[in-house]
Amino acid sequence: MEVSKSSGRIDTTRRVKGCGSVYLLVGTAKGLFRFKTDHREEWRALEPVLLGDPVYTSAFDPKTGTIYAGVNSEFYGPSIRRSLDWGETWDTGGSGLQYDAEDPERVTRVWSIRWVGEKTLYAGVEASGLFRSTDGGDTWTEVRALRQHPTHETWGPGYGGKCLHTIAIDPFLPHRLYIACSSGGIYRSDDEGEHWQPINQGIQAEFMPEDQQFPESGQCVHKFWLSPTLEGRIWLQNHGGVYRSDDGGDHWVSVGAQLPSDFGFPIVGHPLDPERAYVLPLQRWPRWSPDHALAVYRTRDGGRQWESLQRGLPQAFTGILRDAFTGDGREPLGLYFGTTSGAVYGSMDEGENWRLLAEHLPRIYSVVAVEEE
Amino acid sequence: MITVHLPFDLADEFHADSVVTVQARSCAGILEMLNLQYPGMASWLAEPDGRFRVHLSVFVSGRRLPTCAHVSEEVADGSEVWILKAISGG
Repeated sequence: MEVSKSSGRIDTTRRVKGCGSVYLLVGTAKGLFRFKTDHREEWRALEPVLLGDPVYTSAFDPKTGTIYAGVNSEFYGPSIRRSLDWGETWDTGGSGLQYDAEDPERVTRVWSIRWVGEKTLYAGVEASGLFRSTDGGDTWTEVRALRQHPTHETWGPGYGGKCLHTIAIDPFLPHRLYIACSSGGIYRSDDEGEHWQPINQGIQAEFMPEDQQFPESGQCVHKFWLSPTLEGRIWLQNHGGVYRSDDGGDHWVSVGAQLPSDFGFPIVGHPLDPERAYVLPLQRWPRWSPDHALAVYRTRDGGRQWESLQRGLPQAFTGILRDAFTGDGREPLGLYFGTTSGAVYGSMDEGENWRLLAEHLPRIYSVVAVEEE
Repeated sequence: MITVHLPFDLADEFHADSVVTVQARSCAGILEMLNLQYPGMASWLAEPDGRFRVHLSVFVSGRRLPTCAHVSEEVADGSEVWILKAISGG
């Protein structure tokens, strides 16, 4: 793909439609469940792996074919484990994924893994912090400047923990790195993590007293999605509020007013069309779809209007966690999400029609689509 | 020598025998020897501050160490050490 510097858009016209197999990696409270398809019609369940342990996230390095899984054993602690055979076998992970002995915080869970390129990866952990590996996950080192930021004291645990759950590299500015943590907010670094700035201006913290709802940091950002095709475009699902930024997070526009609920966890953008985004609205409490009608909402005009996409989705007392919604990057875009009651739904036509791909799994934490070249 | 019994799934993950013998004078020494033989295993068993992970039970010569015991606990030569998964989970 080529970046047009004048327009800030990436030329996707020469993008090749995927033709290999697609794997769905479904991280659950009791292991990693894998599904495979060749043409997105029939899905085959593979043997579940990493059984018994919560798998919060997974990632894929297409260069080496390595799958990474964030495994959070209640007995043996967190680790980022690797597989070179599509999840059939796993190593025990690298070293260094922990804070210093004298640190008042501990690394208790891995929430996010982002492969950047070559052998470089980032990992987001609980208690909120960022680690980097430059050797493919053999060794991990904390990106200390983040937790050393003066606003760190405003970070706290949400219901799920005090977690750094989202990491993104700017496709237009490779030294620019974004992270988000709950609670804490969204932060940006323009020098690969040496310095950070909170970019929460305009994002509401509705859980704060009325006169303190727009602080510099401390927001409970649930998820953000960085457009690969329009420079500066970010979609963000907040703990109350859906937002869009057109300038890399310097300013935010609230775009969720038309939704049945502006509360939710995941948000997914369209990889080719920066005006499109998808959310799964939930009631504030309990964390269920409004009126128990499971529905994906899509905007095609930058958030001005939202339409309900629920053909094939059931009435259900269930929720969707922040990493349990994803796209596969194919044309037409495939979308997949997993529920807290263990069902996986997929749409192979950009959300118009949905079908059940799997059910009766454990609570689903993450859904990742991986394409075999 | 000290005989160490490892949880079966831990041994499995590291392709280790479930019973290993090491030369050590303390739990820290045991972890050090295990880590030499099976890189990374020590961090699966203990936190960076030197305490055993909260959901592990450790018995030294039949005596259960307190939850989250520090690995500085001495272990006499000839001891049998059991590292077990505690009654946890759901």
